[in-house]
Amino acid sequence: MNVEIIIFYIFSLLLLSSSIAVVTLNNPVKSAISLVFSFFSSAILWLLLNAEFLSIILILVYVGAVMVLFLFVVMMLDINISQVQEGFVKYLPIGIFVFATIAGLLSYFFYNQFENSDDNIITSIDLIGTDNTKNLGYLLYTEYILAFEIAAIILLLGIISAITLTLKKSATNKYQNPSDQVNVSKKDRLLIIRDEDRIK
Amino acid sequence: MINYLYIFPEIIITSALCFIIVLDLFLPNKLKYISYYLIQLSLIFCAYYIYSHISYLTNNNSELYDTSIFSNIFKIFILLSLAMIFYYTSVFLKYFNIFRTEYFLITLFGLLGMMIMISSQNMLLLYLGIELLSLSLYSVIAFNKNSLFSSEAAVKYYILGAISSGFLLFGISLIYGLTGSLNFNEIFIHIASFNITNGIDNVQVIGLLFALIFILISLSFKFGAAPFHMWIPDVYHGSIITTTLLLSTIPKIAVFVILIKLLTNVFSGLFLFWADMVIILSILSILIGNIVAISQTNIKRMLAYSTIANIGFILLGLSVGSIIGYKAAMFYTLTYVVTTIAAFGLLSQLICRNKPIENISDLSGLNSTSPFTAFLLMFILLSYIGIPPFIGFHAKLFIIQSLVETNNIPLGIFAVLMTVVGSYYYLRVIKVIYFDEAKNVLASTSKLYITGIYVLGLILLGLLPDVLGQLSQYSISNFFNT
Repeated sequence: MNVEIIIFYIFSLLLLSSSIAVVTLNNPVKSAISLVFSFFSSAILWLLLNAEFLSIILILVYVGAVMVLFLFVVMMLDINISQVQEGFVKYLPIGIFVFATIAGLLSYFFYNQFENSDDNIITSIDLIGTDNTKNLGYLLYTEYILAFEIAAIILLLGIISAITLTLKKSATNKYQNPSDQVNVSKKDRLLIIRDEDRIK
Repeated sequence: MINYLYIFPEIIITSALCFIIVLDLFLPNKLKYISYYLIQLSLIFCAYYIYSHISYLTNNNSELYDTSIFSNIFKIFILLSLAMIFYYTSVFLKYFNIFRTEYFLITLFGLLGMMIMISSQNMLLLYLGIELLSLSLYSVIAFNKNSLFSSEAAVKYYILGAISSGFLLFGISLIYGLTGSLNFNEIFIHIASFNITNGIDNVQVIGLLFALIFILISLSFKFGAAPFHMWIPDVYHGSIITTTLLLSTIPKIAVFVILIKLLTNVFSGLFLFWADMVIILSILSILIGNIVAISQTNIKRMLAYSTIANIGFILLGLSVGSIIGYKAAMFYTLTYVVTTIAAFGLLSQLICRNKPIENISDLSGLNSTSPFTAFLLMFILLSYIGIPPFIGFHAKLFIIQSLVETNNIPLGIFAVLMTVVGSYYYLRVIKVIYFDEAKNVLASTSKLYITGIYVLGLILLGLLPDVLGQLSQYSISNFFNT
């Protein structure tokens, strides 16, 4: 048994247990942190597969950016956990049934499929040298350029729809109009009342 | 040097989109209609471009992107339907003073997603197209920020859509693990090499079945087939009526094309398995759609359930597994879309007490206030039922004919019986229009000339069913020859 296999088993165990923790823990903050941990473990598993670029991106983007934002949101929201967990016992039997069916059949399939085979169908793609990052970049800009561009369009849509949905110009919203502020004259702000007028 | 001109229609839409986004910022509020007309112009121009360059486009195919005649016909159809939908949307939004160009722009992104879905020859592109479409639909549903229903519908659709995307990705990953490819043709060749006989005697078949089930579940979510229909009534009810019009028509065409491509081409080796699944989906959809629609009082919810029932019929045509069935399913899809545009479009132009139509009782006595509108609405509803001279009759006839020809007579009888059940709730609306006393004053947001011409076109299509029939015959036979 070499080191790689030991590392694989340790981190897949950690991945499984932290993923279970995400859905079972009561405190949403703890769930989010277990999710961070499961991302970290899967990044290690990707490293074992020689996908070093993807694993670092997973840690940088998901752990570094997405999950931090997510944690902030979770901490700011006041989630009533007892309300969320109300249906848990009611839906538990059907959940266990679905889980058992899918997990049983899938493990049967995976066990038989890869039991005696050393060769995976997916061989690592080596196009220009051994560098994983270079290969990814090469594929992205040649074979999958169309998909890459479409992903860019999806991001553009994300920006536009986020702005459209959050930008409000309704009467209830308070916002400043700088040009109005600058162009204000003395008359608009100040009401001068002479003493004589008041006496009359 | 790779030739990328086969994506020229998509490039037209994208560049129009980017140009109009920037232009719209600089237009004062009074001139915003210019961007609306530019959007309409780009849709029509793109449709015309595909039509005039169809042979050029079909000759420049690529492995990733399929620009055969089959997908181009659907693209033209989607572009023209969207132009019609945009007309109704602009009238509605202008009347209620919530006109914003962004609504149309976000929908254009969805259009781009649908065009990519239709043309995809690769699982990766398929997924990206579906994501682009659903992201734009989420934001369009949430567009009406003042309504709580609208936000609820958007959140519901968003969560269910995310789950179904997860299902799709899981299925795709299984396929990739088994065949080592994402390309439709290569997957097809791989599955054919597994030599599937009757029954599960091969371990790999279990894996393939898993992938098939996951992908089919995800697509049924998007299609709205029972038992994955839960989001449809709530989302249709919650969003403004023109968004409902958008949701219930063109995305269904795109998902239909994907289903045809995946089931009859990529997974054709697994026909034994998916035929039963599709039959179960269709029977459940027809049952739930027709029976639950009876008890609805809200007209949008009623039409939502009628959508589910119609989708059941489309799936019934697919389950036949022969070209005649696919042709009938395509005919039914096109008919369903043109009829639904007329139905929701007409309803979106009617107002009751200065609000859009909500309940069926709002329509009471429509005949006494505006006989012409009542007449148009009756035609559309009769077409939905499938009364002979109208187009809906031919659609249902072709489906049942294909069932009978492949000796699926019990299913054919079931379809006919369910049509009878379904006619009840359409006829009830006609009864409310013609025989109930007028409780409300109904008005229309604009003149109904265009709707009138459109419904007249529908009647002509019903009298000459060969137009759509030839179109589906041509495109389906073309699809199976290439």
